[in-house]
Amino acid sequence: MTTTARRRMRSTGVSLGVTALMAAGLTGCATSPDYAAVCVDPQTDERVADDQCDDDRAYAGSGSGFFWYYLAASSRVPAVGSGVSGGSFNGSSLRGTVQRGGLPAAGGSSVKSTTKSGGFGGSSRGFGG
Amino acid sequence: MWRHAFRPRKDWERIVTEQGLIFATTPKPDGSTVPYWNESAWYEVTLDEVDALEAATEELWAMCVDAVGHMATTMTDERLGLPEGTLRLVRASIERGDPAIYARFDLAFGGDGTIKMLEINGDTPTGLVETGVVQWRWIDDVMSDVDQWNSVHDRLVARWRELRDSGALDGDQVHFLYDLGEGEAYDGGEMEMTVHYLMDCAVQAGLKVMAHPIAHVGWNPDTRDFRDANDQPIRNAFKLYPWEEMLGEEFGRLLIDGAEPRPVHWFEPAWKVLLSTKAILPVLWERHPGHRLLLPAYFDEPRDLTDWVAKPLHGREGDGVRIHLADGTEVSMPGVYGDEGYVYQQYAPLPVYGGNYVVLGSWVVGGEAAGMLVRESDGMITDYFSRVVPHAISDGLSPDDATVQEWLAGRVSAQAPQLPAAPTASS
Repeated sequence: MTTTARRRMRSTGVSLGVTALMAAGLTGCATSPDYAAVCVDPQTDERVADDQCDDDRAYAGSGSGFFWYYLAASSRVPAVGSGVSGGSFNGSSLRGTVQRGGLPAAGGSSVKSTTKSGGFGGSSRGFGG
Repeated sequence: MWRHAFRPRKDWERIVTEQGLIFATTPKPDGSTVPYWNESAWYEVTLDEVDALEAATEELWAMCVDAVGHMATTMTDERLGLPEGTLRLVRASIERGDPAIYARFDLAFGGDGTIKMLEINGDTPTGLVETGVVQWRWIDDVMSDVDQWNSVHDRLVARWRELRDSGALDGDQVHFLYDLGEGEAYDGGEMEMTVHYLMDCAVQAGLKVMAHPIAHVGWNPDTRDFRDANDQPIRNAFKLYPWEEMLGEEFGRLLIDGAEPRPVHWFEPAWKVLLSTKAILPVLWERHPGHRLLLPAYFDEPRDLTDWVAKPLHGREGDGVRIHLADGTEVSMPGVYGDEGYVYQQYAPLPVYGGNYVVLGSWVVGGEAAGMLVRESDGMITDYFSRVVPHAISDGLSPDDATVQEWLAGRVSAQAPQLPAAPTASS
């Protein structure tokens, strides 16, 4: 046993909940879009980096440059450098939420998040301890 | 230890509610209320008593950490009433040396100075706001010149800082997930309250935080990661939700199967599930038979015990507990637990002060004894209607800041207990 007792501490002021709420740094967008666009070179139908598409021009079937190419929620996201299919260069006719750019460069997942919740918390029976 | 009647602070209910204790009173089934925070009394302890309790807490903690390694290698999920695959996760958690934050022992502190461990809440302990904030503020208000065994707040902040600085976290964002509980299972906000206090401690340690019910956690099958309510990946999570429940649920399978390429850093870590089951009680007795701080305890049957308490392996808040005494006395609490099995522990009479049965909650934060909380009940089982009462050390003077810092930097025990070296796998 020690001879030095270790007791009460002068804690800094505790304002419950308030500092936590003010400092919450994890807020984000809560929904995922119905359509999202990747940037595409229509000559090759290959996805390029988002920053190549810098204006609102829609591809009219001819001309050079890079254009937004819209994928529906269920589509798989093509990686930058790979070919695209199943989408549309015409964004004006889409109904629903649309996001331009911001899809993962490596591709892979669906445009719309496939996250499902409810797999935890079902056995609530009030506990503490 | 002595109990003294005391005049509650004028407006105490508003004061403690503003300090975060959102349920200053407990509603009873008949609609009346009883104080949950009871400052119409306080408990007086001496420095010698606190020294003994502090040393006992650290000794018990070291024994529990040792027992975790033993249980992980020698026991089965079935024996422990845990979902299949749990021990495999536990062993991986031990191998990684996953750090933990806190735990609470419940102790019987007899009038003759004996200390007996009743149980440990190692996975989801609550009562932090009461201990770290409300009783601290109480002594500051009413007897600021004396001391209190209570460094819970400073140690919680220090622990989060240590986790951040040591690389134990993946980034600096921590999600706080809790069981909201619905309908009958709603606890009046105890989980949210506890979690928000822990969030405050984490923020003071420089972390970014967010809280929501664990039911809002999602799984993304494309990216194979757990997501928060905003569909953002969860990297570090404090969960006020029992491991044995999580692992038995749909997403628990993903954890057991190791479905994540980049696993979440969970607090408490998976090995804490072994300190959440009452199986720890017979295991400790088996490893330290006759130990002065332990009560005899056995799996499945009371054996030669004449006065015993049957505890469901996963029981909480006294639910499902049954006391049997040699004189024929039987006291039992209703509860939903028990299917997973029982342990039988020798009955230790609780000290009674003015009709109140007293259990001491003794905190471990970052592996060190951190303070205590006194709880009173009307009966032999500490239950939902128990009250928390503040304490003071009558022969200890309020320390200055330098002394506090010195205490925080030192240790009670010579060294911190370590999880055992990587256990060899067995199933």
